[in-house]
Amino acid sequence: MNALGITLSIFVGLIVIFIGFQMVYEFIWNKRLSIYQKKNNISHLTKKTNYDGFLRRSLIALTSVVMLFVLVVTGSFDLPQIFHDKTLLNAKIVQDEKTLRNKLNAGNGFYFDHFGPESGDINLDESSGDQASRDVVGTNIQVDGVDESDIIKTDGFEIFYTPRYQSNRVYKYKVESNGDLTKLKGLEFEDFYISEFYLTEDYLVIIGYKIEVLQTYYFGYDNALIMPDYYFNSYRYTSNVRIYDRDTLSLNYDLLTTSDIQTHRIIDNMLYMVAYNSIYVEELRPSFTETVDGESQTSYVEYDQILIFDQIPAYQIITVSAINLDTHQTHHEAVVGVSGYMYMDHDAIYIAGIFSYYPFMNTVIDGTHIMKFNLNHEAGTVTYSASTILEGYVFNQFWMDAYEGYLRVVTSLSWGSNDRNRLYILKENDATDNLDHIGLLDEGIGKPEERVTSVRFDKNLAYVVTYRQIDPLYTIDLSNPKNIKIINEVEEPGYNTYLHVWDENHLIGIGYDENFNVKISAYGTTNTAEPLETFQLSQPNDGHYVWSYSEALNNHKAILISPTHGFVGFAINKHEYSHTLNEYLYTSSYYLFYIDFEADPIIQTPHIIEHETTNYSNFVDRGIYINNIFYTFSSSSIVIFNGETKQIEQTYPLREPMNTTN
Amino acid sequence: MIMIKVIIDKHDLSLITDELQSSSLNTTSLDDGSIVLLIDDTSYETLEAILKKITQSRQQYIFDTPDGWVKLYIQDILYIESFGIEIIIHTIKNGKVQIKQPLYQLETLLMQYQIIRIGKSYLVNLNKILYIRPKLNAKLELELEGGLKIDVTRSYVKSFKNALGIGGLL
Repeated sequence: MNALGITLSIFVGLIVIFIGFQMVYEFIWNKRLSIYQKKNNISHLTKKTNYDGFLRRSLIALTSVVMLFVLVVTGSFDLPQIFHDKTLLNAKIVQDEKTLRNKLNAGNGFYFDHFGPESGDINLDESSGDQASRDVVGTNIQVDGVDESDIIKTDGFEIFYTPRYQSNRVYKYKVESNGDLTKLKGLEFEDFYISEFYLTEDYLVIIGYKIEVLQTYYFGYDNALIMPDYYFNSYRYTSNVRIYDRDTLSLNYDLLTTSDIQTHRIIDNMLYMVAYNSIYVEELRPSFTETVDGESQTSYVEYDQILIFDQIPAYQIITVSAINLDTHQTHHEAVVGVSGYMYMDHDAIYIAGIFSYYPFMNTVIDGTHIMKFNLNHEAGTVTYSASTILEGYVFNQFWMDAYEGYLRVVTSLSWGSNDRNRLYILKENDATDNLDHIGLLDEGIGKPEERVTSVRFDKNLAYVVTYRQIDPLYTIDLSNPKNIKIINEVEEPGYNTYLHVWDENHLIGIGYDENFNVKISAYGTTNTAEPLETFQLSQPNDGHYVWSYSEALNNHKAILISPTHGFVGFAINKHEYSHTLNEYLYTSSYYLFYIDFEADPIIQTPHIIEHETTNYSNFVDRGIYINNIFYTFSSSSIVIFNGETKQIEQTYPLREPMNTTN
Repeated sequence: MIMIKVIIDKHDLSLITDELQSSSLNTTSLDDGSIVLLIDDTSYETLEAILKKITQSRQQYIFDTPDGWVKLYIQDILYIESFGIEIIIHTIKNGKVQIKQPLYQLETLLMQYQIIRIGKSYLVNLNKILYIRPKLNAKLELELEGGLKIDVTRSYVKSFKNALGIGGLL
């Protein structure tokens, strides 16, 4: 209980004591009076009893006691808790199961998760790195040095690939010095599906789902048949992290969790991940079962490591974990709140969750809850350090960015309202768990009713694209957090879902044109009102209906991009109706654009790397770059394109038994 | 056995209705409205109470006023107030009466009639108090017959208590 609580309690106590004392005192005096009157035979006076007075005083005493009780029970006087040297103003440590259950039972608002425009992702630089002497452009990641998982990973010497439609396999190839691929023994699972994986110096870290058949239901028995006509299985999917030795592909470590692993990053030998736990289970504490050398051990996130927020509804229990890939030491912390998008730089994890609930009739409380978790790579810990609530919604990891101690966040207006788009600049408070609001720009980002579709930060600049009818691209100067200025505005039909900072003055945008076909645009960021150049991938052609789509519009990791090498690549899938053949044609191919802002045209006509179309589901997944050779991967084949000769060099088939080693 | 015959004036009848009802005395009404009580030795106590009441009600006092002398029944007096140099007696039947005697003299003179000092400028008739209400500032608020309210100041609380006469009983 804090000082105010103690003072108030003492005060109320004194009031009650005083009132009681006064009532006794009054009674005594009137007893004296009545004895006197009796003694002196005074009977002509009307006797009087002070019922009103007693009632009034009792009510005052009762009211103050009840008020105090309510305040104490609701925790208004609770001392702020300290959590890792931070005074908790927003969060509360759960401590026991009862508190957690109360929170979960209280706060089931209207579920509003992932209910928004799937704006494309934006990305930053390639996790290139000069491994030995090989020049590699790999996964397009947001923050340099913070690796993001993907379905293809390479270090220039080896390539690991899981096709989208064969997610129980990992293909492994050795990249010879002449650029040829040699197939090595890979991995194939029966009860495990791969979501994505990481490649580190020593390990292959796979994140996916383990599948167990819980029960099989049989129907339609026919006496004449031994086997039933039909049946179905009920499955259990359990999130699973597996660490394999990269060379021998032997399993070093296996982590099963009841939570649903959503997003993760790797810095050096530390894996950080965010998982969501259902709140409708008996055991609320997120649990982790680790298996090393055949020995399993189950541990729980303890109640004093679980935090709740009074103002945030309880949609999920969010577990943030740190796992050391070498020692397998783990550290978990959990918060009860809303899931959402995760941004991580070298120092912290930020989770932005959208919430919306109706506490009373006709009122709605919504917004984005941002939580910051500080990372300690040496100790292998991740600790909650600050949070705040923003107006508007965050729909993408690129909408957040930390630079020089400031967290910059763009929020888009809420659905169907005449809201505004905003840009916040936040800073973690040194003493409390607050993200202080330092700056806010809520004028001028987008015309009325325009939503934010993509954002990219570059040091002291922010680039924001909004869309309703036309796509304005804003360049925003953040160098003074208290005075955020829009310094340029570019308009163009369609909108971008991904922005990539090419250099200080130029941007590349990937998105939809006005006909919802894929386009790629080159922009100057200052002193210009129009894009420098736009390349539409589907030229309107007579008699043909064309529709193109690219995973790059939704997933930044599908984009291969390198400003230093001057190219952008991604796969495009097209459906084209041919009047001559009277049927649809499906083509999937990898588009490689060379871009040079000095040249004309800036965006050169793409090289189209065609893949054999075996069936509808054979999409080109990814491309990577090693020593001026582009390797493009689909479920059916690997097509190798030489960057020097600009020719397709080789095609390797992919659909073949897994276990044929070289 | 001695029988006593008491004739009670009709003006005093209202004072003693309680006693008459509670005892089983023989009463006879006379033509002029008075009544005759027949009392034997079992009813002395009742007679005593009746006589005391009548005596009290008949107690009168003559005050010096600027306009001459005025005679007031003690039982009519609610309280006496000094207001600057004016001394005012608040009565039930005669309203306010201004007199010339200083308060400290009245205090000594009227003490025997249960009119006692309760403040620098107040005397109150104890027999007119309906209710005592302690106040927050350690004063007592007296509610008098007729609804008037008057305070006992802090320094007079003790003497007020003594005047109620119960000493250490409560």
